[in-house]
Amino acid sequence: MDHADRLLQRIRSEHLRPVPRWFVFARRASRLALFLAVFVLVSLSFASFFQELHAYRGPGWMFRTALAQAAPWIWAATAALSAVLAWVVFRELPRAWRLRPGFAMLAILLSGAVTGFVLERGEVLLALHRGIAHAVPAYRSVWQDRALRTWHEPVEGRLGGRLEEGSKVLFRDVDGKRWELREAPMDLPTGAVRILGEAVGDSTFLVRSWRPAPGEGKRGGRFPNRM
Amino acid sequence: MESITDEVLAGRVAAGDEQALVQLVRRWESPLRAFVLRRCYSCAGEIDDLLQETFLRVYRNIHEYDPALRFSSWIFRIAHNLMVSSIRVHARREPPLDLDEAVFVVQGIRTDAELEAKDLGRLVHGILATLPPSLREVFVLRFLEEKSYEEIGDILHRNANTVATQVRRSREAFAKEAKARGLHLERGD
Repeated sequence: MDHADRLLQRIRSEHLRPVPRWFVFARRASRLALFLAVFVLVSLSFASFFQELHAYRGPGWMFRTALAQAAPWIWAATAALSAVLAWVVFRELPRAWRLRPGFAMLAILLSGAVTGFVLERGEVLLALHRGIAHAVPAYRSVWQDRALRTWHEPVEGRLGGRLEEGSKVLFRDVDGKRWELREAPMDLPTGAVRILGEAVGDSTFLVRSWRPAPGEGKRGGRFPNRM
Repeated sequence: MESITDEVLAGRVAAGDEQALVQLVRRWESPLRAFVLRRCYSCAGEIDDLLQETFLRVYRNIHEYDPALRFSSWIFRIAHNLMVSSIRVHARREPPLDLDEAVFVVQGIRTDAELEAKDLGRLVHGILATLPPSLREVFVLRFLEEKSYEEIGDILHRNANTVATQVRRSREAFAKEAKARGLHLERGD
């Protein structure tokens, strides 16, 4: 009895059958789906990187803490780690090993960066934040609070906080300090708000304009809930 | 039936033809045995089990076979994976095998008339045993199994350029060891 006969005997005695075609297809599809999911993670990380970079440099978005200043680089590191993970998953795809590892890695990084840039510029990331904020109140609260705190810099002419109850001129900032507003517009909302202007004293602030707090909506704005 | 390609036979196995499986087993048993024994000395004691597991996986996973690849690359890949698992299990036992025993059992060369070839074979495999396992496998596939870089890449799941680099390194390591043992190789050997 040779190998072939023994093999057939074992197949028959143990009633072995080939793994079904649909299972093979499902396994391949799941690998591809996993790769795409990781690639989306790479792209979103890059999108967040660009967003934080923009926020870091942009007016009215100055981060005050070291951790917040590190945010773009934390996202860049997340993107790089995700890209490595994507490469590991990519190597499991059919015939993927035929590509040079360096080339595959570079392609994932570059395409992830380009997709991330497009997602950020196209407001897709913002829409995602907004969607989560609407669905998850806790996320919305954190999102608003962070944005207000990063906005708040009285020396540079930015206040974040809300009007005191029943008052049109007394304002409590995010650090709990009380301000008296000068030339406060009549339409200043009672909820959380961002104010642009100038500190003209220890606790007096000259209002030039205001913006709604993140997620509150901007009157007539193109992106009503933009942070 | 000998003229039927492996790829066609694989298609028939996928369709449920057991005789096609028998044909594939008989066709690949000897090459796989040689490949495994040349690469993995600790596998000698369980070579039959390892081969049967290889063919069983071929049967069980026949729908996984990608017709864009050569069947030989696929079946060598399966044997490679099993061999690597076996090596990991017996990592500290390698190499317990009498080298020329492995070589000549595989090749069926056991006559005294081939003594000189046997000595050369023993020398070659003695040198092979000194190579790191990854280089030894590449060397075996390239120079003993005579696979192309692309086929080796498909078996080891590496890019062909990477394989080319490793082949060069394995050849250099082999030549260095051969020289140390007084065996002078000419370029292209």
